[in-house]
Amino acid sequence: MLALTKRSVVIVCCVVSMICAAQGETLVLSSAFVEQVKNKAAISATLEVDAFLKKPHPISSGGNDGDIHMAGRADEVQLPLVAEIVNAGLESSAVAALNQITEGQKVPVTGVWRIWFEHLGKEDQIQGNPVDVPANSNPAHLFEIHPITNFAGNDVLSSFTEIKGYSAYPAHVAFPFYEQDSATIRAADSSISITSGEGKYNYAEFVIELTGTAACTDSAGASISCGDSKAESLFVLANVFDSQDDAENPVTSDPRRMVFVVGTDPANQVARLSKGDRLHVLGIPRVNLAEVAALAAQDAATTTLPYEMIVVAVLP
Amino acid sequence: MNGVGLFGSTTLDVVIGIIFIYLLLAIVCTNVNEWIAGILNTRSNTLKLAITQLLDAQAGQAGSTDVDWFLNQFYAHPLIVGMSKPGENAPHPAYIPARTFATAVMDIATQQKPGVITFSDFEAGINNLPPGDVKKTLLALIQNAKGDLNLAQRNIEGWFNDTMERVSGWYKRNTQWWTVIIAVVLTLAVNADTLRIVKTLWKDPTLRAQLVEKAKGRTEATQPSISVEYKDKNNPLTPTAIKPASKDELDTLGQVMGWSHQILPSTFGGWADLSLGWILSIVAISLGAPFWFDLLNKFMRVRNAGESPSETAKSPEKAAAPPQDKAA
Repeated sequence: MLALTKRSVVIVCCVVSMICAAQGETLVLSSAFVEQVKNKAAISATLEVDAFLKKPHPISSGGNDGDIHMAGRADEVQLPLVAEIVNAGLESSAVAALNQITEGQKVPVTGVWRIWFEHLGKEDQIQGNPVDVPANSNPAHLFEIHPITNFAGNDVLSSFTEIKGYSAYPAHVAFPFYEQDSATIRAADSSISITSGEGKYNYAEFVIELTGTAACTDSAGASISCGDSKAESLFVLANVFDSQDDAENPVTSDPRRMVFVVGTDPANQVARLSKGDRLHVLGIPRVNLAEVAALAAQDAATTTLPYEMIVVAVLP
Repeated sequence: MNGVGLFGSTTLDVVIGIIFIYLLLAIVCTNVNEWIAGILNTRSNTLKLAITQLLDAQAGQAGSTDVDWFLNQFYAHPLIVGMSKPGENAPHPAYIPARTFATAVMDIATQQKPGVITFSDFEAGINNLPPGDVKKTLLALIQNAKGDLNLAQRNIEGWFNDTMERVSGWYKRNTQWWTVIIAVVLTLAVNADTLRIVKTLWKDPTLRAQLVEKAKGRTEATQPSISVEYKDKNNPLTPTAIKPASKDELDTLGQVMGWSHQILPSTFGGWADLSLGWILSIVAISLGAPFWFDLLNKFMRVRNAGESPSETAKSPEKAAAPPQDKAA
């Protein structure tokens, strides 16, 4: 009887362990998609807009970030997705264009692709599976086009500027989470799966110190001179600090990759910097698919979630 | 708990010990495998083989002796040349984006029409090619493009992507073969006899405790089992994954395997036992580090579930986690 009880306890422990191990959500991406976008800041898609907010979020802190949301589906992505215009209050033409569309209308959208395990659902998300019509503008989603750079022909590159009145998370709060967020990455013949728990801290304010020179890519994600007119994305490695005064203690263990959209103010400013120079910026995290691809090539198991920072504004 | 029953602590600790040893051996195996793949340019060579299959057997003109004209033109195309490192003996690129492939193919097919092309130009360019595999394939790919050049390009990208999926499978199978070969060499080199390791762990509680402690350290460490680094800080486009096994962990292996204290068996039964021990190790190492890491995590959880609350490690970062941002 005692042995039976012990065994029952062990079985219960095993079941509990399995449940614990299963926490979080799995995103399955096509390997081809990962290769296609891993070294690109932005993607273009024809977004079937199913639901959207009429007005931008108010501006204060946390989720009140001044963004305007829309949820929809796109053949180029084939995942539940939400697209967002940052600093939407400054982009009246784009917001007016959004308010004129009817639900289900297809609209050309270009913007920074962003995978972040923030809005988890009840089911794993598998690229290529049929995507349900979202019920509201913020459904369960792991994929975003955020920030949008062009909406229905309206250039919104100027939205990459300080969100006046917004209090972002300080680096010493956000980055320890980014650095420790765990994930399991697996590769199959034609797909890569990423499993991770709930992510957080959308907007972080931090200081970057460049550890190398910037590299640019074209629309195909191929390396190209940053001076070339075909350059669309700019990447640079940088240490991250909490403030300009902090010279010694980066909040990142290693240099992190920073992502810029060529043509935005942050990209213009960073392009003028050299190794060792600093810039005070506002950024949002996304999964670094270049690192995911490198990890998947090793059949990696558990690791920290590879991330990079999309720089959306240069701060004073 | 004592050593009684399947999940008695002795049994569980021996199981954890053997899983941990398999994990370390599998990590060494993976590192060697990656090193060999780097030396042999396996990834690049596999891609080269695939592209050769896609684009060979296509001459540029009827009766030409250059039967691989299209393939040669592809590798001479500036878009592709630009992706290789400079130098005559530069290795084949390890990756070519689908769009670059399609653009180069379309450009080669329409060499007589420089500049912006239309669907008709592309179709005419393909028709001008002499009979060959590439011509036949491209004609099939543009059939359902309905005169849309962008759709034709997407079809070519799809053709390339489908092939890349197969390439990924080839690479994986190639890696698996190398894994088995390395597992055999590694097992024999360090005399990783599973049966002997189990016996040693069973009899030596101190060693068993040491191994469990190190296994615990690995599963609870804030450092991941694998990490990524940028070897060239001026090149943020090509990160490299590294999978470290610490010197301390590797030293552990010397305590449970090796040739120094091995007396070779003198009977058939002894050799059978030794061979079985080796075979078990080879199969185990071939399963790969992720498999053993996952299993180690699961067994450590089971073990921790049996510990008193004060023994169970708490996660300080989770305990101190600030409130979450729920909105995007």
